[in-house]
Amino acid sequence: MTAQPPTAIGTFTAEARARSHHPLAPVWRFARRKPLGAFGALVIFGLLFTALFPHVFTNLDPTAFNGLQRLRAPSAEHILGTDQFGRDQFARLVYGARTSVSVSFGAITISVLLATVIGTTSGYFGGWVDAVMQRFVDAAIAFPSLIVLITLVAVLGAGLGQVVVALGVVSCFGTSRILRSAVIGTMANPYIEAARVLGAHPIRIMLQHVVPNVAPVVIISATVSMGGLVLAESGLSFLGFGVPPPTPSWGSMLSVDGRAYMERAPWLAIAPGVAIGSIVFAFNMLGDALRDTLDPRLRQ
Amino acid sequence: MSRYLLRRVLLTLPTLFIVSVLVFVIVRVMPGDVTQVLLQDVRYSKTDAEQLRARLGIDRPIVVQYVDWVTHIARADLGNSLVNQDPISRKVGQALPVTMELTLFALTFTIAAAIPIGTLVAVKQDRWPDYFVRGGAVLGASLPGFWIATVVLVLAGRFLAWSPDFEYHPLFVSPIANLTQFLLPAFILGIATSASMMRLTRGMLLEVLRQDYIRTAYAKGLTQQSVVIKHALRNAMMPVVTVIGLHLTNLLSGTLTIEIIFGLPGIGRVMIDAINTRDYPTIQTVNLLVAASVVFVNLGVDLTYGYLDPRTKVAA
Repeated sequence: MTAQPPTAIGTFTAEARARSHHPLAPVWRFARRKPLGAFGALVIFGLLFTALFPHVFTNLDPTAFNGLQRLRAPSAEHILGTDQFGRDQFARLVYGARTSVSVSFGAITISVLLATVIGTTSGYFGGWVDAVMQRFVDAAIAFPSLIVLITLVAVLGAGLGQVVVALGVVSCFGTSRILRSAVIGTMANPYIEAARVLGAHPIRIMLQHVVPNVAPVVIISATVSMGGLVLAESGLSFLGFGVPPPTPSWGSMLSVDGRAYMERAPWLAIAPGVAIGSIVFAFNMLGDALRDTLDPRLRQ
Repeated sequence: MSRYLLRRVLLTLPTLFIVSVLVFVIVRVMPGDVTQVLLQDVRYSKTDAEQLRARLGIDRPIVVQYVDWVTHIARADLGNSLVNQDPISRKVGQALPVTMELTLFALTFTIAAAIPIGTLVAVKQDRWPDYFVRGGAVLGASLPGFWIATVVLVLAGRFLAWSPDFEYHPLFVSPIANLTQFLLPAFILGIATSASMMRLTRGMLLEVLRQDYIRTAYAKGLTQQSVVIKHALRNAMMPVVTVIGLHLTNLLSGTLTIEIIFGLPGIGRVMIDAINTRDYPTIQTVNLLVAASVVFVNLGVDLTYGYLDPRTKVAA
C-alpha cells in the first residue's frame, strides 16, 4: 500500500470528495452497488407515476360497463381484454395502481407511527411497562393476520380508509418488536445516560436521542413490510373484504366473482397477479438492498 | 433451565388472557348483531329484536358474558352457535382437522424443501444454483398463493381438462383420496413460507461457515458433508426454528384463501360465515383456538432451544 505514489491517493480522494458533494451521489452509489435494489426502486417509482397520472396510460374508464364487450380476448382496442361486465382490463389494472399505492403507503405510515410509539416506549422504560406491553404484542401477533384483518374490516365497515387503518394496525406489532430490540440496544449508549443526568424529559430523550438512532431500522422494516401489505390487501380483496367495488383493485380483480369466468377468459387471471407479484418483488428487492446498505453489521 | 422453562410457560397465561379479552371485545364492537340475520326474512319491531337478544343472552353486561364464556371454555364447553344453536365443538371438530392437515402438510413441505435447498445453495454460494434458487425464492415469496392456485386451476382446466376434486374426503374414510386432494393445495400454500425459510437457512449457514471451528473441522480432515451437516447446520438452525411459529401464523392466514379455492371445508369458511352472521361465540372460539395453537407452538419452539443449543440450558 505504501508503495503507491501519494499523488494517486490524492487524486482519488479528491475525486471521491467531488463526487460525494453532488446531492445525488449516494443514490448513484446505491444504484451501482445494488442494481436489483435500484431496479426495485424504479418499479416503485413507475407504480407511483401510474397511480398519479393513470390517464397517461389509458383513456378508457375502468368502471364503465359495456354489455356488448363482455369477456373479449386481448385486442388492439382492449390490450388485456375485458371482464364479465365488459370493463377494460388494462384500464382497471392502471387505475388499480391507485388502490395499491394508497393502501401500501397509507398503511405503512400508520404502522410505522404506531410501531415507533409502542417499540420506543416499551424499550425505553423496560421493566414492568415493557413486560405488560409485550404481552399485548404477544397476543396480537398470535392471530393469523388475515383473520384479524377480516374481523377489523367488519368492525370498521367497508371502504378504502378502513382497509388502510386495519392493515396499518395489524402490521404494526411485528415491526414494534424489531424496533424495541433496536431501542434497547441504543439505550446502552452513554449519551442517553448523559441526557438523563441533565434532567431531560423522557419524551424529549426518546424523540431527540432514541428515535433518530433507530431510524435506519424503521426504514428497512417499513420497506420490507410494504410488500407484505400489498399481498395482504390482495388477499383481503380476494375474500371480498377489501376496497369495495367499483373501485378497481388488483386483489378484487382476482376475486371469487371473477373466478367463474376465468376458464373462459384466462387473461383475467394473469395480468392482476403479475402486477401484484412485480410490486411485491420490487419492494422485497429494495428492502433487501436497503438492509445491506443501512445495517451497520452487514456493511463492508 | 427449569426456572427458564417455568417462566416461559407462565408467560403464556397472560398472553392467552389478553387474546381472549381481545377477541371478546372486538366481535362486540362490530356494527349490527345476529338478530338482524335471524330476523331478516320477517317483519320485526325493535322489541322483537330485544326479546331475541335477551333469549340469546347477548343483552347482558359484557363482563358477565365474558366470565360466562371463559368459565365454559375452561370446562371444555365451547358453547353453541347463535345462528342455529348447533354446538360449536361439532363445527370446529369438522373444520379444524381440515385446516390442521393442510397447514401441517404445508409446513412439512416448507421444512423438507427449505432446509436441504438452503444448505445446498449456501455451500455453492455465488455459483449458478445459488443465483437461480435465490431469484426463485424472492419471486416465490412475492406471488400471492391464491393467485398461483387460481392460475394453476385455470390452466389445468383449459389445457389438461383437469380440475381438482371439490368434494371433500375425510382422512379416515378414504385416505388415498384425501391425500391426493391435499397435495396440491398444501404445496401451493407452502411456496411462500419455504422461500423465506430457504433464504434464512442460507444466510445463517453462510455466517456459520465462516467460523473458526468450521476451519478446524476441515483441518481435522473431515469430509465436507460431515462438516456442513454435523457442525454447521445444527448451529445455523436456531433462528430457522425460531421462525417456525411465525410461519405457522402465515400459513394459517394463507389457508383461508386456499381452502376457498379448493373447496376444502376448513376454518376459513367457518370464520367468514361467522363474521358475516355476527355469530359471536363461533368467532371468539375459533380465534381463541387458532391463537392458542400459535402460542403453544411458539412455546414448543422455545423449549427446543435447549436441545439445539445446550448453552441456553446453562445460561437460563
